[in-house]
Amino acid sequence: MPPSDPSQRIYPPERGVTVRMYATGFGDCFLLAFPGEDGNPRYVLIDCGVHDRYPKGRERLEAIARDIAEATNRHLHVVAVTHEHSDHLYGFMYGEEYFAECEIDELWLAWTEDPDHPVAQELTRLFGKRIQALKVALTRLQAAGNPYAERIALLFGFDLGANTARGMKGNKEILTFLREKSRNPLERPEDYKTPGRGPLEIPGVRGVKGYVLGPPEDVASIKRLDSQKETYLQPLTEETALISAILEAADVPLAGDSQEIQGYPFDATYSVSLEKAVEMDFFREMYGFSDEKGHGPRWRRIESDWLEEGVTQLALRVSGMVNNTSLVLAFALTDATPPKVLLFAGDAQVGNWLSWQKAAWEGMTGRDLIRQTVLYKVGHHGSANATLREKGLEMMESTELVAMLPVHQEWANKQGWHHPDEKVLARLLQRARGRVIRSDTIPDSDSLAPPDESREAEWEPFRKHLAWDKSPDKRWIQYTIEV
Amino acid sequence: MTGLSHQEHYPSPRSLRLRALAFDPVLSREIETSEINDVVIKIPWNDDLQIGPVDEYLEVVDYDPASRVFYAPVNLMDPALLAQDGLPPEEGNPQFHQQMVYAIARTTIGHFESALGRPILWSVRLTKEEGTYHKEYVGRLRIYPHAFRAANAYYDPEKKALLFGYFPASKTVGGNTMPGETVFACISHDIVAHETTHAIIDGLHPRFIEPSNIDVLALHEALADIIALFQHFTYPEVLKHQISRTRGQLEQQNLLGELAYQFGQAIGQYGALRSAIGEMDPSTGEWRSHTPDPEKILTTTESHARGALFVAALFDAFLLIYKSRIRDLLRIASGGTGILPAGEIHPDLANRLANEAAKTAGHLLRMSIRALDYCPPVDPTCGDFLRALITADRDLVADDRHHYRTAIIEAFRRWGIYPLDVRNLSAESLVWHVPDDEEQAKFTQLFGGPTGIRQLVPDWDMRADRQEIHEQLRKSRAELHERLMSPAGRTAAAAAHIVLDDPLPSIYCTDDGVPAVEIHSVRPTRRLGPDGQALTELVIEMTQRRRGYLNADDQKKVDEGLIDPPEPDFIMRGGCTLLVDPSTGQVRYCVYKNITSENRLNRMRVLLREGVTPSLYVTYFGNPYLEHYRNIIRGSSPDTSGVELFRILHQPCECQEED
Repeated sequence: MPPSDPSQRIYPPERGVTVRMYATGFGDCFLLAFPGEDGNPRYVLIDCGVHDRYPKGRERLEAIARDIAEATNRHLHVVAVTHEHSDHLYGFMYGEEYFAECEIDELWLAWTEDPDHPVAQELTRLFGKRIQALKVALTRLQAAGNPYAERIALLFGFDLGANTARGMKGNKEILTFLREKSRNPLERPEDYKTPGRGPLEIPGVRGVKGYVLGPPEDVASIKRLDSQKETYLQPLTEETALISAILEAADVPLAGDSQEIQGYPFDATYSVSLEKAVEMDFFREMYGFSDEKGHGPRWRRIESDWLEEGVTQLALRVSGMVNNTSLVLAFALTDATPPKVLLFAGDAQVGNWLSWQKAAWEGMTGRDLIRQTVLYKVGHHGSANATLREKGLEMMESTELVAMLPVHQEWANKQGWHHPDEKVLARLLQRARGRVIRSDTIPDSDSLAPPDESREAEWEPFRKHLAWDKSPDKRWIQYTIEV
Repeated sequence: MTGLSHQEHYPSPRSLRLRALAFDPVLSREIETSEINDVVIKIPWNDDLQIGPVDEYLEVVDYDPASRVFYAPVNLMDPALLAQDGLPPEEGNPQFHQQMVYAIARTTIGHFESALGRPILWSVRLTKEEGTYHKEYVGRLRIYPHAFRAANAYYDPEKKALLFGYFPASKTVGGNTMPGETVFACISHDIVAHETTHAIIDGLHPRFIEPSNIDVLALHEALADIIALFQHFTYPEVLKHQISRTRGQLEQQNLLGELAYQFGQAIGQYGALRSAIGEMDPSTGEWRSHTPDPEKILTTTESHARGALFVAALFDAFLLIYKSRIRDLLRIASGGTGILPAGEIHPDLANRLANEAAKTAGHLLRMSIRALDYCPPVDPTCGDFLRALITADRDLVADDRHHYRTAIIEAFRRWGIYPLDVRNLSAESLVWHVPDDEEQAKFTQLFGGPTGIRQLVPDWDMRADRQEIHEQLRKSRAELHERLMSPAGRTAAAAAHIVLDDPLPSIYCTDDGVPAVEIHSVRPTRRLGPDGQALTELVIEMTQRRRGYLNADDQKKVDEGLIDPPEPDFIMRGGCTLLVDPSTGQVRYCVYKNITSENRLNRMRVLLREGVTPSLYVTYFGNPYLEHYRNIIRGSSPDTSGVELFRILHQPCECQEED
């Protein structure tokens, strides 16, 4: 661990905000510094996480947590956690020692974390059953040596609670640490952040309003992940069928004996149990149960086919739905006309994004917030369906638009993942005129060149507002917006 | 044992009669359609039909892994079942499912065999042994009627199997499906015919599953739908009923032009899953017919939607022909006005109209199947298929008395489907290229005239053992490959647009540096000549492979020989189909896709990059089109694999953001 370094301190501008993006590897961690009315800065931390499979994630996040503690003089005025994924959350576990030293005034969590909220309860049930089914299915796929098993485990280990098995804290326990640490009690429904309410204040700061855009308070929107019209499948019905099939298969090995459970397609009289089928010439010769002579060939069997496809889709949907529970925050700097907006989209997917279109407050709408965005925290590490086009990026019309993209492309690509999406990145670069700040390309030099020389003039003010960690660790890069 | 010998006096029956559903179970619940839905299907009698059912072509193995149970195989040769045309249609009896899925699949096979005049073969199984691929004969397509719990069904080209799913109907169903009731894909006539067609086409053209242009997967889908649709017209009661109901106006909503009725309802759609003639407007709940729009194809990229345009065009052609064929009947029945009086139509007229509809549909069904022999072996487009249809039809019916070809061209034009490589849309210019004298001379060197050709023609007919046919074809392919690699053959290769000399470095070569050529097939096709005599022709397909790179600069560097070819991003294929007349030794048509075409290469690059709708799946599992090639290139799946693509074909589609 390197010695503490005072140059890591973060100071806001006189009027405006400084946004520091920590390079956690593959994950989000944003520290915002606002000028307080009393002359002392106020700090807002949005997420602190790294993907649970990211190499040396623990070491890196420990160091970052210490940096945060020092940068803020051990006082975080607001900590916001967008959603329960390791890449947004694990920093609070790895760096618990340092966060424990900090004062935390307010913890901001979405209504989805309110145990008494009826829709949140419905979501908990929804996730619970799916995760249970996924665990069972994963075990079964692993047992069958199915190649999908590893891919799913890699992706969704954190959703499946695989880490609790490895002696790590569960997501809820990490949140409990923060809940106990913070000064504001999260007891009443209004203590949780809900779209349309507010706007929120940052204590001691004027000229900044916080707007909660998401997550939308309905299950249908949370379930909506892709911008697609489903024409052939209806995933929800199907998903239910698959889930009950998986759970049934686990609980009741001999379906032929039990017709009580819903989901079996035929009356028990028609069923031949596995044990009986093994004894029958027809099934032995045609289907086969071993590699011995007289058994049907292995290559034609369908033991885990029904699982690999369905479970992959189910796992993707569960992960996507958790992304869709993202707390989405927009901070409007109201001293500017029109207000300058910082949009922190979490990992919101399509259903979450679309719901912002209808959001409205006195004197402000969701559409205005998108339109007036000058700083966009790119959703879900730049994936293809976490930045909407027509109802998102294309609406952001400010000529000052800057994007901050937390990603580690090389590592993601090595996992076979497409973060960031080529087309999303290309369009971001166009819309933001090259001003896309990435956590995996913190500059080596003292300066940052524009994408092409002709941009030199308009690049200058942008460059002036950038700063980054000049140490070899390259732990952060920050951008200041002045009003 | 006098009893036994006594039995042998009776000749075997010509066909096995099996009860099945003409559509799917819900139509049995509607009073209007219940009587026509229950049909008896006749399939060729087979003394060796086993329990399962298992015969020479198919094996139904009823394992339900999601429920961890097997369902006992039905014995269709049991006297109790023989005496009553098999089991009665019962949704709750898995043995009826086995019977129906078998009967429909077998019927679809029958349509292909009678149109092609030869037994069909399933695609071979590629196995890798010590680095070389072996083509293993697979005699039977396996059918799993209850393979998984999902609203899907697909053909798995690796397992050589059809997998059918079952699932609880949507909670918001309309019509006669009960919310939450179990819906079975394997007792939907259309889904079975559709999936069987996928398997048959894969046997003929294993490259037609490769996403090398925007049309390929759409075409696979469209053909599977077309076969299912025109198969409706082969059930006389159904046809007569629907003709009566629509008063002969088949452009109105009717069951003949719709696919997978229950499936459509069960997934919460208003009507059938797909329709060739119209659709329900979800906002008004009213049915409206499709209107041809030549612009639509330009903006439709998703495979199903694109395939649907192709189906609509061909169904339009059917309607044009049918209407022209019944014009005289309508005049006779209306005292010359051609306008029928209100009310029901006379049953005799309904019969005659049904007859015309059946003839028209039968011809189009045959033509669509035969056109498969006139397609390029790789990278087909809808335009290519139109040319194949026209050429096939001209060979079948020289004199276009009923204006079938005109109608087809007209319909395709209205839907904006044309080939890119013809000067105009006359039937003459759409017919495939006929080699000129100079090219013929080169081909003669390759094939050795009529005598040489005859050595390649396998000696068999419809009754031959299919495995023997497979063996003979293998020998013919090997023989032709040898001839092609001889000096004379190498001259002929150029006429066939096969590149053997001075290849681009990106083209795959054998160890001795010669571009690799696969003789993809040497198969006979039979047709009736103009004088009614049976003609046998040879369909010869050859293919080549080239390394493709997404980055055009990389491609250029490789092709200019500046760098050694790195691992490619995809495989581009080229090749030709030659239709050869063994009696003259002449090549009648040469249909080719040049391996050196930069246009095709660019088109492919754009599709592989842009053709896949972004989704979470793509974020985490990659672009399935590119993955398809990557798996082949890295040898992790055999060269003809495509199960992912077949599955994906049947998954949610369409893009567009909505409110």
